[in-house]
Amino acid sequence: MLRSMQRSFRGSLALLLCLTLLLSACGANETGSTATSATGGNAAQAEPTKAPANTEAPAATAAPAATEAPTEAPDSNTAAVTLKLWHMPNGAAPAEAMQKEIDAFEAANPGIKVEPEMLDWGAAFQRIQTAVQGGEGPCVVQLGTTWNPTFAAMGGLRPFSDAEITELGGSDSFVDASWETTQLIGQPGAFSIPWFADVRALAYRADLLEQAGLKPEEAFKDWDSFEQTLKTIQEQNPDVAGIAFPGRNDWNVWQNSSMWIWNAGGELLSNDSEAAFNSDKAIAGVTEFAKLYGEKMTITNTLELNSSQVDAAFGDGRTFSIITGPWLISNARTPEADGGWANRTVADNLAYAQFPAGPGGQYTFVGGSNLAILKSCPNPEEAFKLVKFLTANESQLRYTQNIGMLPATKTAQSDPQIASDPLYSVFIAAAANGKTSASIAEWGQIESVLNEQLGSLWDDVAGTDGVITSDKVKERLDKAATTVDELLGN
Amino acid sequence: MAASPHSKPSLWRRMKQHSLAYKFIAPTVVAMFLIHFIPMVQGLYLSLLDVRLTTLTLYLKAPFVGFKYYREVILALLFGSDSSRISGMLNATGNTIEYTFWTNVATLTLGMILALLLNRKFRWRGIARTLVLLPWVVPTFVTGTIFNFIWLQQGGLANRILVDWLGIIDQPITWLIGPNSLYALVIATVWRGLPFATIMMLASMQVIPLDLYEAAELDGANGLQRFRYITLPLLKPILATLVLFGVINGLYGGYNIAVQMFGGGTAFAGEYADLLVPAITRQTWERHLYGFGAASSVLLMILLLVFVGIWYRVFRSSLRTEGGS
Amino acid sequence: MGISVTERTTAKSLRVDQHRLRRFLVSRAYDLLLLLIIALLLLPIIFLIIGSFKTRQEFTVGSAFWPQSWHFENYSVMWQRVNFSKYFLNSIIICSATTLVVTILASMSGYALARFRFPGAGAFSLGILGTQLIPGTLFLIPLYMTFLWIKNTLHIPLIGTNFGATVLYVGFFLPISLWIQRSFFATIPVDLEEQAMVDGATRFQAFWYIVMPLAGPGVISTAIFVFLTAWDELLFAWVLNVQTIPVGIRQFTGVAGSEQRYELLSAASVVIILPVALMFFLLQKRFIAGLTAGAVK
Repeated sequence: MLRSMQRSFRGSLALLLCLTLLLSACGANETGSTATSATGGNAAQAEPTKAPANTEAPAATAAPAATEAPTEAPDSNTAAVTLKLWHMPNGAAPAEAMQKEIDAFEAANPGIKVEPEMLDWGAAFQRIQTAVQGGEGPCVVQLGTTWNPTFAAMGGLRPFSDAEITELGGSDSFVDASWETTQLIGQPGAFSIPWFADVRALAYRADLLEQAGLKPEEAFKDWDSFEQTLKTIQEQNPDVAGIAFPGRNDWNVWQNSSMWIWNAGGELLSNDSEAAFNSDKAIAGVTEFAKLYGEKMTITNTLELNSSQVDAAFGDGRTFSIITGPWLISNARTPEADGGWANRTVADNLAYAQFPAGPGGQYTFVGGSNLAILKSCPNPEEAFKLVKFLTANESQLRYTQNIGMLPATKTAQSDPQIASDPLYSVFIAAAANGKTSASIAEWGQIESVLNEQLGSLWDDVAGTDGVITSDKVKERLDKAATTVDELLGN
Repeated sequence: MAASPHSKPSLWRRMKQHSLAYKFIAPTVVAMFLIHFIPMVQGLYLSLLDVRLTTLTLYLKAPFVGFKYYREVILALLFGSDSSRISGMLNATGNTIEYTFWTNVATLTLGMILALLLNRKFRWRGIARTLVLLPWVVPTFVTGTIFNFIWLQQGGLANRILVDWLGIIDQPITWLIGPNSLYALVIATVWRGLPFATIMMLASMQVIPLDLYEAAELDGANGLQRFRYITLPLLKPILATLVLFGVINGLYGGYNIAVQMFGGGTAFAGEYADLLVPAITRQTWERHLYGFGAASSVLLMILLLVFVGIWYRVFRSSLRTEGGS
Repeated sequence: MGISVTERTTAKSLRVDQHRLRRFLVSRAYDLLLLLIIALLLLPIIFLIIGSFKTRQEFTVGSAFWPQSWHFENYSVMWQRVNFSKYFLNSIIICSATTLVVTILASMSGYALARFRFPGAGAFSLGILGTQLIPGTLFLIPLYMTFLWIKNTLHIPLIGTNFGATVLYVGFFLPISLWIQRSFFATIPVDLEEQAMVDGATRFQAFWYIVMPLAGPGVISTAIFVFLTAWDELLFAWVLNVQTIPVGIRQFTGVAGSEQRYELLSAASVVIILPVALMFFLLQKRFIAGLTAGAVK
């Protein structure tokens, strides 16, 4: 009696455990194959097991005709190679934009299937790190430009051969600042290929500038004229602030400050091996930047905002100018029903200018993303085909405009679609004077230190009601420099 | 207790007698060792190694640096430090203690008031009890998201209520940056933690015999006295539990809310509100200083143990009475 | 009450009436205060629900409390944009499996701890409390490395899988759950089991058939606790690459250019709260009863 009772208990327990394991095993696939089998709602994509879990749904609603073609193609070709692609949420409709490229690639390369998965920026680094260390992951992966050296140093990226680079058009065919980000200092070759460039500039309201009787060439010429312009605009339009930019609560903390450092004649690092962002020139640049808030040329709560909220403040007409990237162009051209700004005063009067020149020059930040092939990829040849497709002219033009970024190749940039567009052309000019992060493995860490101290500086600014001295800036930057030098082993 | 034998037989016999008990606790023991203790021992050792991004693959074979990180922190405690890696950690420690203090004080005080209000006879008591518990089912990372919207200086709900609806203050308050950041974090935490504390206290209040109050009333005790001399002493055991939970949650918590509330995932809440767990996480996963992160975690654990020690001294008596009942 | 006849009683009842009136007023004042606090507690949730129907623009500008028009489509857009069903399903699977396993194991261990004074019980209790004192940041890296090692050498997929997450969470929540369970078992009179055992039942049968049914509220409280906590876990899921809701929801916010979709984030948040709220409402009577029982001990 006792035995049988215990046995039946054990039995039921074992059953429960099995059930649990089964349940968990169901969802075990890293790419979330569970979702494919379970999302009955998206019946159109549910058939092939290889169907990407991530992007199918938006693609289905956006372009049902487009998704049908590729799902049929591999059925006829059983020897299909499947490439996993990890990408981040680029643009306003990231999954749709990516699916369009994949559909085009699959149509041009029967026999290769691409299985995309979208990672969020917050988790992406960690997932790629695990993929590199675990030896299992995607074939092609999007890397933030500052990540390339880190993963290259970890030995996780398959270098591109000279022949392959030539096949892509050679290193000269890419924007210089972007190409720099494919390197790892101290090692030859490229570890990734530029995919798109994220160039920063100043977006402003052309109508307000005109009302003030100012010419853009004059208004944004240098720091003095820029501040004068902001003050004039604020005087004439009491409801509109001069400028808005995010403070600490944002991913772009160091990027925004770096342009003031460069234009003041400073550098972030000297010889890629030592902190230089606490030089007198750099301090002067950051102080000048902080002054915009201190002298009340910004919207009142600008420091608590993030980039997206700053963009919205501009879209809402609350600020004359913002520090931003090319993505506002697609905002301005998207109808209001789809979340865009089309037909608003702002959209009709959107204009861009390069950052006002400082005593040290007129530079801007160039970031963006690269494409890399992981060493663990079993089909590097097919993976290269995908990289080649995505960096070729056709895809470059379509994809970058869909996501609101700048193409990374000079050919695509000189295409009339981009080059003769009055808005995009500002970015192309700016990109020529682009600067970016150092191609060293420690950059990610440096960035984290910079964000911390520059972010805290915005806290100081907010806490002291905007009065910030260059001493305070120096204190922050010195602290960051000590930490960065420590990380660099100095 | 019921199964415990009358005389004291040998250890082996007693163990054999309780074979069922051992079978019952076996899975837990395995889980405790696999998920908690073995990794913890590794973590302790890790805190003596120079493990960073480039040496992570070596893991426990990474260069041994001994108590370097501990020495750094202790020296910085005494003399200060130029490196923001260490001074940031000390700063986060101060914030964490302040955060723990305020979350506990606010949660317990408000929870007590709320529990007293709920522990009356009124018609909508059942609904009220349920509604009070609602914030507890809101996950913390959602809490962070909600409060990000609430705190916005322009158009946020908090300032809308304070300035526009009630008119208590003239100027909107800035919460998400500057010195108020910590309080923004505290209030969000209290909002999420209040329901649980309330219900626990309410549960304890409900088992206090009513005749105690009646007798006190006959003796002429007023409401405040009844609370002071009857309710509060009898609530001491549950208060002890809640304080312990509060201290653990305060010292080890705040990550989810901070990540979502400040800057959509950057997890840096500024020097005013940077807590230890977010700071350690940043050192570990952004700077890849795994060894230093482990050492900081150990120091954090020591800090908690100190607090638990204080807690034990304060609540020792009430723990004993609880154990005796 | 007020209909007394003699003068003396009228005077007395007047006093009583006054007293009652005062009590009544004080009581209503308390009601009002309670109402106010409840309103403050609920306001953020209401704000979130209303926000989930706004447009992105309204959100980032933070212009009005009510939306200009109600955008119900936010929910379907949200669901499709990040393939929410994947994360939702993963979370449901992981949390259900964890809750199930933890509740069963915690019942057994909690019972053993409450009823038997076995050699080592003290050390075991201390160990349980000890697990609660270890900061997650201390054993996160070792766990990550161990899981990675198991994956690379034994080929058991513990990283990035629901299975791995379940294993982790079971280990995570078992000690604390068993501690909660223990206090419930302690409140159940021993006599019942002893009676059953006198009638010929084994200890195990007594546990399974007599004690477990009585421990219902305690089990439910523990289950809710485990489910809620697992539902809420972000740090470990993120590092171990598990695709749960807390990880997935971060796709709505991000770096510049990828447009923070707060209205979608809000819609997702509402959907995240729904299952736990639902479960909570269904079980809340027993849950509160369970908490009460647990708090006594």
